[in-house]
Amino acid sequence: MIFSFIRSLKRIKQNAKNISILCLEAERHAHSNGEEKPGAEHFLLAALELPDGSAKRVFSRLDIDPVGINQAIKNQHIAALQSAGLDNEAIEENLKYTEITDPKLKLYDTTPSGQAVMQTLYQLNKKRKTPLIGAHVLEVIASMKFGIAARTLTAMGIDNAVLKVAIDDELSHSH
Amino acid sequence: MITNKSLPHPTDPAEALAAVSSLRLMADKLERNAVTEAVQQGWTWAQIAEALGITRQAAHKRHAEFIHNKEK
Repeated sequence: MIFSFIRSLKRIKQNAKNISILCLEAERHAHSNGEEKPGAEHFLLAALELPDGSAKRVFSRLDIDPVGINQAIKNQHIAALQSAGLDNEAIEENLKYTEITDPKLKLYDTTPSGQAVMQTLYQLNKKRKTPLIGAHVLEVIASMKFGIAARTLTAMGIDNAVLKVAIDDELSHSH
Repeated sequence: MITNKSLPHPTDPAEALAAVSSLRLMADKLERNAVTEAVQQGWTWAQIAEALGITRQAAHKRHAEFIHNKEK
């Protein structure tokens, strides 16, 4: 009984630590791209920063170097703006990635896609008896059909069904 | 230049909405850079608000902190 309680406390502590890292890293990625609030695509990048390393291992299983994800996200915006008729010069001028170096000190906030990630993670986490890991974040993002994160993964040639198998494999080895 | 011909057609919602999302991001950045420049040129918050078609309070709330932090 007492061991179960201690295990439960350890899990809560680990969860809180990982959620904190995830949120702060997502915000850092958003700010470095000149965006105020993190979206699902920034949580995708942040999942790779979690110390458990499971998100990185999912990409290793697919033989994909996750270092290219950040540029792939930027490329999605560039491609979308090109499809809207803007030329490269106009895009470069207007889509400058001015880093937000001194973010506002206020309540944590995300874009709606970032909220969707956190809400789904929360729902899934309530059912799980293990701490949050990077592969859980990828699992949520892989379930998204639209938006920059989903388009980025597709543009990188990552098949959603294959990604889900790699995530399941990783999760079965993590637990 | 953006023309009706070049914009993704609404009958392809995935492409059209992706363009909307990126145009919104670009508009946000353009707004932030332009407001920063306006403040540096001595515009008042009332003038900025009028140009953006929003209230002075909304303009101030949206941009003042970013500009203040940038000036530090």
